[in-house]
Amino acid sequence: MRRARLQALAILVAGVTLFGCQSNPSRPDESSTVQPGYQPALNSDEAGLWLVMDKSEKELKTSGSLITDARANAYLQEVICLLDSDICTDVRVYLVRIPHFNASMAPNGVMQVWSGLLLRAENEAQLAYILGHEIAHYRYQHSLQMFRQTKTTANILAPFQIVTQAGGIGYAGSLAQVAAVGTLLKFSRDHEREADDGGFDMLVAAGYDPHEAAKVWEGLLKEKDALDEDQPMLFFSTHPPSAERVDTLKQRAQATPEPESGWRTGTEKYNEIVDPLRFGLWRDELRLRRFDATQLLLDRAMDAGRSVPETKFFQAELYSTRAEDDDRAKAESAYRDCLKQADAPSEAYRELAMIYMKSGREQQAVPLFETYLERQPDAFDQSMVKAYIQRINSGEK
Amino acid sequence: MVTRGEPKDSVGQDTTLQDYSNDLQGDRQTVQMLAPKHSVIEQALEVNYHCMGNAGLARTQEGGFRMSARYRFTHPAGILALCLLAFALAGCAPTQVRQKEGHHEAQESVSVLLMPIDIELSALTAGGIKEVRADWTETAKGLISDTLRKQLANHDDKLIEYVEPKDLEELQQHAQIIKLHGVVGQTIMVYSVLPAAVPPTKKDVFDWSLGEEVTRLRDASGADYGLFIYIRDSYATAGRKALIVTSALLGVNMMAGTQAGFATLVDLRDGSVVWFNRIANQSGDLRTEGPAYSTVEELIEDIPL
Amino acid sequence: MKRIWAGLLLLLSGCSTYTLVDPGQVAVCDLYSVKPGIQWSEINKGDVRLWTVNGAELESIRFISGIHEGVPIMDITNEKQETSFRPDMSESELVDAIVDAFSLSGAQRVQAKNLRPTPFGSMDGFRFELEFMNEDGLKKNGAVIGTIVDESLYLIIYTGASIHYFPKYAQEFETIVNSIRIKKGG
Repeated sequence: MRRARLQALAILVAGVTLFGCQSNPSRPDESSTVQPGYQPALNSDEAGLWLVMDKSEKELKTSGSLITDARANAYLQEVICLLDSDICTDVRVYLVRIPHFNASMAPNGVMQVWSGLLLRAENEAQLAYILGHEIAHYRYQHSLQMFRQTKTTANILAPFQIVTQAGGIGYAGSLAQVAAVGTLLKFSRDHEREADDGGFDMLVAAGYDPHEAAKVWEGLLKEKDALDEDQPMLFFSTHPPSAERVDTLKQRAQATPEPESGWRTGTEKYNEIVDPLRFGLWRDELRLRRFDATQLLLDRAMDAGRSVPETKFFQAELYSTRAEDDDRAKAESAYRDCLKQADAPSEAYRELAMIYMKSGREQQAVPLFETYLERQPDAFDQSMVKAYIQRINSGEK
Repeated sequence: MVTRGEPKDSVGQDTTLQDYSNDLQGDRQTVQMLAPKHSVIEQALEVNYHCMGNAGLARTQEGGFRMSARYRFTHPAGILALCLLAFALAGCAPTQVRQKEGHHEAQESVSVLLMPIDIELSALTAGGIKEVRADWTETAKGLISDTLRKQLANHDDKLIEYVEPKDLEELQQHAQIIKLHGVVGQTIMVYSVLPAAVPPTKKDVFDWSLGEEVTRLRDASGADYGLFIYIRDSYATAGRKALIVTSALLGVNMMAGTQAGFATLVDLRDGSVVWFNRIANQSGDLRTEGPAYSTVEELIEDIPL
Repeated sequence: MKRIWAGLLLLLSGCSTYTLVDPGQVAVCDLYSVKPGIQWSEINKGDVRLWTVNGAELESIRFISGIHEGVPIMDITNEKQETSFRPDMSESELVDAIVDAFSLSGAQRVQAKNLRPTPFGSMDGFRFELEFMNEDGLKKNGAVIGTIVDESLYLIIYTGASIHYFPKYAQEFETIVNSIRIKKGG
């Protein structure tokens, strides 16, 4: 049995019982929102579903696909609590190492944030908007509604199929498994609008700059354009995009008066948390070999001046990995450019050294290799690099 | 394309082999076969496909294979397939119980650790996609576990319940053993049904093992043997259009439409598989008591305890 | 023709079935021969030979031979993302390509370790170890040894389940690697 296991794919089964309603002026349609502390009735089918989702959560925990950086996880929890203090204690958030943009919330309160999202969100406000959007889906039980409406289950699995076909390097199997804890369902356009509204409201209530909301979608839409047809974006298969939503969000932002204290974007705090993770995020992104899309992200990062040494390194890596036409020359000058930075990643030394070595400039390679070994004494290829140095020094080819 | 009448609406009614056997006489054009991606069977079919080119075996859109009627009767592979099918239909599939040489039913009672059942129940959608249903799985698992205990009580052995270790690492190791059992068992199963699939180094020997790692199970439970059960079952939902025959064809079910299952008894002192049994017949909806009972009955038939 | 790396059954196609490899010197390809110490079951598909004792899902040794420029290194999937071989690839690039190929074929959490130079018979070669999981999360280990000769790539890839199977044949794999004999003029 080679298929990924979808342990908690929730097919809807009847009767969700709600314990009363709470009025909350910022949310439409309170009559069917999930209330804090909600638990399904013990003998309901939904309870059975929760049991299974709880087990899936356990698998998620032991899957090895989690980024366990304590600060990052605490940060996500903080932002969620800021957005919705009611559900704060119910939500368990997991940062999952999957280089695609996605966040989702399962009916049992498990929130997944995928690492691809951290690479794309530019500040705390943008992160908050997406989290708020997902919280809204959860509060309004959109997933359960979709389940009820869906007669055929082919719909539900379509995203899984897309992802597995896109061959997301090494993630196809675990993606489906991990995503099953969330709700990989295609939301309807109405749901999307409601979640946009709900997310927007939460954003403003928490004091963030509402103009950041539209930017998230805009960024994703641009990225989508840079991809081929057979490289769909997972997030869009569950959250159908549209230009009109961007406009709506922009209009709402225009119409929202700025408070005296001003809005915040939380860029500094966001970078403080995400910078230590970026190397791994870029590495995973590049493995996808979606060069046009990655280039877009690199351009954005350069424009914003984010983690310059790393960004330059991965620009060089992109050329080196793509290896088309004059990429080799581009890679060489990009590595050199990167090495001008004081804290260039140590791999940059090795990469430039390899280029020199392969193009007859062995003597220039040696000091670079040595610097690489100094800076990374436990490199996985240290034996290989030492052998290169030896070979060059002893005059062998 | 053979179109069968829809399988009976409620899940659990398999496309019947009886119907198919009638078709054998008729002049139907193609039979469709589906296998889960990357499964052992799919790889086998894949190889055959490449060898055959378009001559007899073709790919379908759902990712399965289609075999023409003429091919069935004229090509060696087709004939083999038919033979296997006939075997399966007649209920006399090749060896289904394998046992380690020299292992006899224990004279005195032994203790048996009942490992957590490795089971998944899926729904087969119209698009041919298999989708694991967690709730169905939980229900079936409960029923099967219950009836297993009751049926084993007839044997004079000490049954030991599996207790999940608290330590995460230990838990993960146990999970690895169970997963290894899945692969070893599936391999044994395929070999038992397709004799031509057996590597020469495995012909006429039954020396399978899960390795010494299993001693940690013994240490934790004190048991002499471990009983492992693996079940995969899928039900075609209403609206399913294509006939799925692979399981019939190959006599095993890791695939669409019918049950697949096997049980193994593992010596926890050294990891050797002392007994293996696979299900050859179908039993319907495992979320109901009757089929759960007969499935277990078949699984532990002749278990040397 | 797509390379096969499942050692399982091939319906009577007359195209390929298992053969038995006995201990003793056996030619792998034009470049070299090896001397296994135990019996193996082999499937030979031209530029790939697959050896197994119990079944490819449990353990296997794959001999991939004579890969030219432009050919996907492992040709595991039909994905166009698979990296093709270039004779000027460094060892780390080859490692990356192989790791990616494994990942594309469904292996999870693939990690390469300890890349180092090593003899491939009388040639210079490289070697590294792998850790990964199959699609169901079963842990597996791998050991890869390779060399580039006359702008062609040669690899020997040993993989197996971490529990029991990989360790069981690890010594035999070393025996095979140490027995590589480059053919004269090859």
